[in-house]
Amino acid sequence: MEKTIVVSKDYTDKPGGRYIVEGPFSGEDFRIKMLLPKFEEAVKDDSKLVIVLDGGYGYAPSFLEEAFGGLIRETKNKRAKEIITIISDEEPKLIEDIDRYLSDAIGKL
Amino acid sequence: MRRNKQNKDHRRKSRVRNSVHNTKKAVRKLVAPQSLSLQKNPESTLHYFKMVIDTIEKTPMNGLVFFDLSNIETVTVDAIMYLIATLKNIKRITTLRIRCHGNVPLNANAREVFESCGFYKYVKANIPVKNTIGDNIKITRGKDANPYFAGDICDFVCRHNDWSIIKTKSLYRMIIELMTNTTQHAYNKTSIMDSNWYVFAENTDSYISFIFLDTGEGIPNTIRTKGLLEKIKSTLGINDALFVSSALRGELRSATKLEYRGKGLPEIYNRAKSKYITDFSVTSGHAKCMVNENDEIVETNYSDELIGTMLSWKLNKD
Repeated sequence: MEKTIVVSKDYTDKPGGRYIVEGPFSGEDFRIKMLLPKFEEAVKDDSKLVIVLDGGYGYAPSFLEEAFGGLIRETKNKRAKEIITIISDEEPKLIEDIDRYLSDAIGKL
Repeated sequence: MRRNKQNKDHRRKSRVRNSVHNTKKAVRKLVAPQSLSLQKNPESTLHYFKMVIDTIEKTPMNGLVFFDLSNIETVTVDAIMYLIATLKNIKRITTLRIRCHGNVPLNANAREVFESCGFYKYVKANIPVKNTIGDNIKITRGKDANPYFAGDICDFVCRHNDWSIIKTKSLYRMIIELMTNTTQHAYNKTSIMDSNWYVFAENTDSYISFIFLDTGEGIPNTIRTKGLLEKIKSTLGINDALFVSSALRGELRSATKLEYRGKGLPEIYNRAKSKYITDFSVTSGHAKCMVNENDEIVETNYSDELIGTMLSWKLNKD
C-alpha cells in the first residue's frame, strides 16, 4: 500500500535550512525523523512513497538537497527515484529540483 | 642586584598603571559623514566604517569610543544596520569591554530614520525615543536559519499585498537560504566579527524593500580561502567584484568543497531576475554587484571594504 507524507501537516509548514545545528526543521531533521523511516517502510513493503510539498511557506534548496540527496547518500539506494513520487502543484519546479538532487546523488554512488 | 630588579619591576608596573589610567581617559571620537548611506554615498560610508573598525581594533581594554552622529543629514537603513553590526559583532568590543557611547543626529529626518528602523533596540538611549510602529519589520538579528521569522516576513508581505503565501514561497526560500549561508559559509575563527544575520523590511506604496546583512567573512574572502584555481585567480589580482559576480553566477565552488553545497547564491541570483524583484544588489568585501533591468550584473569596486555580505532588493507589488 502506498505511503504518503504531507510535509506541511505531518512535519512543518515552515521548513528550515540544511543541518540540524543550523536551526529547527532542517532538511537533515526531516530526513531522519520522517523521510528515511517512511522510505525504508516503502522499500520493505515494495510500495511507493508519495511526498506532498504543497501547503507550506516554501522550501529552501538546501533543505531539499539535504533531505533527498542525503537520503541517497545514506541509503545508497539507486532505486529511490522509482519509489518516491513528489507532488508539488504550487511550485512544480521543485519536482525537477528534487529529481536532480536524487540523480546527482545517485550518480556519485 | 635584587634592589635593581625591584626598581625595574616597580617602574614597569607604574608605566602599565599610567597607561591604563590614560587610556581610560582617552576618548576616541568618530565623526559620521553628513550622508551615512551605503546606497547613496558608498565610498564615504565605507571609509567611515573602516575608521570605526580600525579605531576599535586599536582601543585598549575599557577604552571609550564616541560615535558622533550629530552631523548626519541623510541616512539609510543599510548603514544603520551595519553600524549596529559593528557595535554588536566586533569581538574586541565584548572581549575588552570597550565602551561605545554616542549622540543622535541634529537633523530631525535623520533622527526619525534611526528611531523607525529599530536602532534603539540595540543601544541604550538617555533621550526619549518615539516608539514608532511603521510599515516595517524593524532591524532583527539572529544566528540560525530561523523558519519562524522567515514565516513572519512572508506574513508581513502577504498582509501588505493581499497575497496568499503561495506568492511568497520564493521569498521564503531566499530568506532561509541567506540565513543558512550565514551559518554555513560566513564564519571564520580569525574574522574580527561574530557571525550574525540582520534583516530589515519596509513597505511602500509600490514595493517592499529588503536589506539582509551577514557579518561573516564575506564572499571574496571566503573564495580566497578555497582551492588552487581560486588562489591563482586571487594572486593574478582578480578583483572582489569579479569574485562576487562569479559566485552569483555559480562559477565558483562552495566553501565546503562539497559539490552539492554552494547552490544558494546562484539560486538567489536567479530569483533576482524574476519580474517581481528589482534593484537587487550584493555588497561584499570591496565590491558591489547590482542586477540591472536587463538582468546583467553591473560590477563596482570600492576602495574600502564591507566586512560580511549585504544584500538588498525590492519586491514589486504589481
